[in-house]
Amino acid sequence: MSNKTMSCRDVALRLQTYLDGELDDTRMDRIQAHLDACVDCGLEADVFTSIKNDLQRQVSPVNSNAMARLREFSEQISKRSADSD
Amino acid sequence: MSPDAVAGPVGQDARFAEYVVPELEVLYRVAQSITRNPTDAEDLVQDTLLRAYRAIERFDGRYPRAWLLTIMRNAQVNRVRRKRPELMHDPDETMSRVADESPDGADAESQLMDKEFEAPIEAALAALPEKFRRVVELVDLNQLSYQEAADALGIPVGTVMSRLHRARRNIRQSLEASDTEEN
Repeated sequence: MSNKTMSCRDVALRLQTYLDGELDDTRMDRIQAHLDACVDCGLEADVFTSIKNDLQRQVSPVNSNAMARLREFSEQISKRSADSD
Repeated sequence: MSPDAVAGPVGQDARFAEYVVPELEVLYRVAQSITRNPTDAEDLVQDTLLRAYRAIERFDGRYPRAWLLTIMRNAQVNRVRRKRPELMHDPDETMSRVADESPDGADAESQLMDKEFEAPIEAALAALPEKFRRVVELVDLNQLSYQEAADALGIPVGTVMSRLHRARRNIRQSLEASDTEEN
């Protein structure tokens, strides 16, 4: 891939994918370089990074009783299989 | 280790413990997103675990989470087919419709009106249409990759991306609108 500078439009198209870390290393580096140099795109990235961080904080703890039942169920599967042999 | 080397119950159990058990919490979180009902979510995970145990000897050991999410998605499609066979033309749409029919009959909009949200982000998330909200929950809240979310929902990666990106733009607009109202 060439090392040419990305335009703001190119960055806008890939910004979400970049923030999710779903681009190859070369594209990640090129977008990072653009964001470091371009105030407008950098601010745009900051807005969506903040949204992603806020969303991550919405994760609630899983129900511990449900998890305990599922772990027990996992063990029973193996036991049931062994008993039937 | 090749599957042949671990054939039999002991190897089957070892592979189950290695590849499946560590993913239990992720499976339950994804099941909650898909079913919108704690009891159904637990049933769906149990169904997934049984299917995974039966198939573990054929699993090549690569990307266990993606493998399990595909199993879960197939299990959910079968569950919906048993309950509502007439909805099976579009499985993705079917899952959305089933999820929309939450036990108390509340859709996202009425939940939004009934509940006082702790934060604007929570309200913005709840206001998204179901199929967009589900992708945000899988990727942003539960940290699945695009491919894993696609496997869980049975939709192309490109669809995950377009829904996710559109959802985030909607969330941004909601947050900006809420800022404007406050000022």
